Amino acid sequence: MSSDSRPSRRSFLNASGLVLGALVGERLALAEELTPKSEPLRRFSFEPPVAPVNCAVIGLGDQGREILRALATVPGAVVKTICDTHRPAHKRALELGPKAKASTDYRKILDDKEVRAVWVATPSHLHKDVVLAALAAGKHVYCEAPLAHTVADARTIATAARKAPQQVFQVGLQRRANPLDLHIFGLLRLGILSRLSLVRAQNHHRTSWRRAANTRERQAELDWRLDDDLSPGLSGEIGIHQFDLVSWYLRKRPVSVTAFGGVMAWPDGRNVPDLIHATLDYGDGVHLVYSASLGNSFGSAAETFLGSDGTITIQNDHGWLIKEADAPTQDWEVYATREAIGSDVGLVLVANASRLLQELRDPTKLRNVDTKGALYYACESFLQAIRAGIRSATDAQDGLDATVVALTVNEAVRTGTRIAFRKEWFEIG
Amino acid sequence: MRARFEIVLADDRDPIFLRAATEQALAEISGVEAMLSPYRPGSAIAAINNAPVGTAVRLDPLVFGLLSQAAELTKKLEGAFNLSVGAVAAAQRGFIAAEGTEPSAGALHLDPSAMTATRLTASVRLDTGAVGKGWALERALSILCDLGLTNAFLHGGTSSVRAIGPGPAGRGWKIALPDADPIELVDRALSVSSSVAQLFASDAGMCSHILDPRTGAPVKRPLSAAVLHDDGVVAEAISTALVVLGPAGAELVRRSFPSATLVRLAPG
Repeated sequence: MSSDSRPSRRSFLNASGLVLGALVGERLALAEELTPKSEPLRRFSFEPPVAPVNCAVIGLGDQGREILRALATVPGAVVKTICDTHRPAHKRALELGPKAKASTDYRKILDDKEVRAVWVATPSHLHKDVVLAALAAGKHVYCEAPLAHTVADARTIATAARKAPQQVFQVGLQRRANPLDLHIFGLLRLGILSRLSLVRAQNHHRTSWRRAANTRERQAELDWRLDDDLSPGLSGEIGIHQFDLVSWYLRKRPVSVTAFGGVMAWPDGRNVPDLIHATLDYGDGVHLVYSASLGNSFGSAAETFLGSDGTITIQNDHGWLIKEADAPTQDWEVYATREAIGSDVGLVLVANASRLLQELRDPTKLRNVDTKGALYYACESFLQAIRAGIRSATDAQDGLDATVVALTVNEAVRTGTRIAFRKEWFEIG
Repeated sequence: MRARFEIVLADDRDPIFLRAATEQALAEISGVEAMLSPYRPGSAIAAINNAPVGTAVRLDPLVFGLLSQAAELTKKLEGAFNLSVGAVAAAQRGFIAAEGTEPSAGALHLDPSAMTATRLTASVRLDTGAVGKGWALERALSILCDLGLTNAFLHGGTSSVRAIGPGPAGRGWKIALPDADPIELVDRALSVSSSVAQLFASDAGMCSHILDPRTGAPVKRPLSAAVLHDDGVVAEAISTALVVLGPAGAELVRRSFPSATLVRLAPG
């Protein structure tokens, strides 16, 4: 890469929003001097008030409860109603939203004029009816990813959302709202890795994916992820967030996918693969090599971006930059924390470093402990978009794009073939 | 919590169902770890500890409920148990001097209307390690019970135990304790605390991981306590407080917690 196309150190600092230069060294010392060691409380600090928004959560499984947990701490989120057709699911959900009214009929929730924002966290094959009804009722809708278990349903949802421009429609691609992922997005856009050559990602977790229930009927309902006709597979259930991250970072859709998989860890009669490998061609020589497994937890969920000047790797909401020996020095790196990453040394990437500094807090010590989790930020940004009347962080097009990619990967796994993506698959009607 | 958790089910139903049930219960324990670990990004406890003094941190109702319960237990145990003194965290940050660190009892403000927690002094370092395992086991047990599993044994790091049902032999879940008769546990929680179970090095020599919240100093006498209660959180608070109070604390426990059973309180 020519020196012209590489950002200067000064432009990097200015554009990234990071305050990690020589000035930072001085201010960090100042911060340590000024940090109260043991000072009695003289005054409380308060968050600025935000307008309350009445919310409803439909679907009270694991993800629905995680949404409730996040909403409990999001300023201005008032959980008015919760809904699940399975009444016993209400008990655990009410622990997280004790002031909410519980219902088994989502249509009653949609009839409630006071509810403005609706989260749809049902199994993905049930999204369509709920989302279409919610949009028709004038609600702002947050739909979990994938949009649906078929591309046709996903397109129907995206089309309905586009036809309701006065309502905010957000898809649960939560990493796009996560400060660390946003921070790394900025670094990549500034060309910190120079020429990107390869992306590796994985999601490995040892779990059977089976759910326990008291009756066979309920068991069958809960095990929809293992039902060939309903399941979007590992790529649709967990891979979608990583495919979306890569597409977002690269600012392009994949050209094709080659994949295979099988039932390796849990031969209990299931047909949905518990191990998948996929290679997504993003064009210009860049590939995403992906694997997901339910048989082994090593490395858990991670994404690694390999470029000619270095590597950025992300794991469990922590990020590191591992530089190549001949890569240019960044102004801020002398102040950054270094950690061993295998036999390499990584510079710890910290989101919101400048804000922490303004609060007289040491970003290198706090690292990412300060985060509230990607789902929190996604829920918060949804409510902010409603209040401001602006486009959501992840709109219908983002949702359709991610859903098409994930479901196509799943189809490639099922057929063990290479599938080329077609432009019209991504078009909203 | 940094402990190994295990679940044993005495049940003859489909093994696939039983495995799925234990996965759900263990996932709940992992969720509790994510909520409470001072070292995990996004945990409520990390958020409180890292917030500037005087800044209110909004909590989810579950964590707020645990901290409220812990505050009540602090009162009933006359300050001998207090989550505001994070011994391990404090030690790792080098807070503990030979004379002890600053006591921080009462220095965490809980606001039930706003569901917030606020550190009132910088010395407050919340560490729920004393009751986290007991709470995790209670939550895991409730999932098993909701699935109709009523003969189960759960433990975290062997020091926190929860049992329900009569066990595989029908006489209770048999547990061996050092220097004490075995007990047969049915529908109760067992908590074992010891001042010498975990030690850390300081300028003053090897110190117990349990601090006396009233003085901030590590407990000096080698003592262990084993307590039974219907609620694992209460059992853990009592056993921790007894190690702090010593034999004199037995009367306080008898008076304040009539349903608790003191199984063992002895040196070592």
